[in-house]
Amino acid sequence: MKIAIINASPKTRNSNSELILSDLKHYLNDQCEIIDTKLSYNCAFNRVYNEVKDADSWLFAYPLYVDNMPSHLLKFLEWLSDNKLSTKRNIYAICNCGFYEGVQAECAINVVKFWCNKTGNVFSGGVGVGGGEAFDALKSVPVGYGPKTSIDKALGTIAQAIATKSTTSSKFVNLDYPRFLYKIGATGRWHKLIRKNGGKVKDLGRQLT
Amino acid sequence: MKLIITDIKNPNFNISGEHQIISPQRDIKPCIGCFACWTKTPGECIIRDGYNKTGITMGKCDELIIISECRYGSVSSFVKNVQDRAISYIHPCFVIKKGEMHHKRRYFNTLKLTAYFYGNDITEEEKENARNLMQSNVDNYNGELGKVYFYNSKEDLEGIAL
Ligand SMILES: Cc1cc2nc3c(=O)[nH]c(=O)nc-3n(C[C@H](O)[C@H](O)[C@H](O)COP(=O)(O)O)c2cc1C
Repeated sequence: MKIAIINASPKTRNSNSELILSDLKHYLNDQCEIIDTKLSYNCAFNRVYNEVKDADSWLFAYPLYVDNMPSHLLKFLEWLSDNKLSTKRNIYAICNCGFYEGVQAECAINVVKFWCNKTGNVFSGGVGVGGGEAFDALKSVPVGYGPKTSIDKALGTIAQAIATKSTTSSKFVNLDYPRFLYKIGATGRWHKLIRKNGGKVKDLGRQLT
Repeated sequence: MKLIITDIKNPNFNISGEHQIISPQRDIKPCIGCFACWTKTPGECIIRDGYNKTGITMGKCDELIIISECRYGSVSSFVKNVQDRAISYIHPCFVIKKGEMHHKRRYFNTLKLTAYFYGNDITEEEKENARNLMQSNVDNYNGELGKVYFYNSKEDLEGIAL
């Protein structure tokens, strides 16, 4: 059993997808051989494809962008299907949202499912993770505990499906942490970032003409 | 003003009134997820490839028209790329609307979104997803959803009145 894990966050490092994948890998343990790769914004499709082509299953992890997957991942999927490069694999998807509600990733998970239907791959389950921006602050929390409890449970379930090359239903999960506190935390981060860049808090809402 | 975002390279539409068209006339770079358009140059993307000001244009429009191939129940990657590069239309901070988290407004216009999807093998499930996607987009743009049309081919859109 070989699984290729494709981190399709456009970021070249420090992505929330990476942190979520590290929890997933905890559950995969050594039940299967993992090919770990990235599809950042600047990766050549050919190279990524060559890295993952020997795997029986692929997992795409990506952030939610404008209610959908990031465009470079969509372009990769178009490229694979236009060149008839993948079929009959088990495909899994994990989409993390900046918003609190994991269910906001539903359309973005469906896009992977419909890609599978068009290309003859087997869509085998997805997880929509809400509150992805909290993962950095939760680095020291052990897998399966605290605010990550429900999310990690869903990751455990999909890991089991991956390890047994089987299909599981898609799940949409939130942090076990109040939404209003997550919202306050996010506001604080934006304020800090704009100040760090030499701006004022009110510049966050600057209107350009 | 109407803003038309399309993946058709040399579109031939019958457009009335003031408008701007964004089509694949030149290469577009993907979003790199840096959030500079919110925290460094608020309102504008820092990648200067000619697609960096869409967020500003959206703030001046009352109609947004998406004309795209329907790929797997989504807009095509070009249209999606333009959208990804235009999140500065909204404000980074969160609000709760209709029980869900969304963003605060940056501008106070209301965009009416109309979408024209084309493709010869769009399934019913894909159509439903594309409609839901357009609905989610207007929820985040604080806009209104107009009609979502499906055509069998790009050619059927020739000369369409917008
Ligand atoms: C262009 C862009 C669009 C985004 N659109 C959404 C969105 O529609 N809904 C959402 O919940 N988060 C949205 N986000 C936030 C990301 O999903 C969030 O920051 C995520 O945790 C990033 O994951 P990553 O670090 O793995 O790339 C967007 C971010 C960017 C840069």
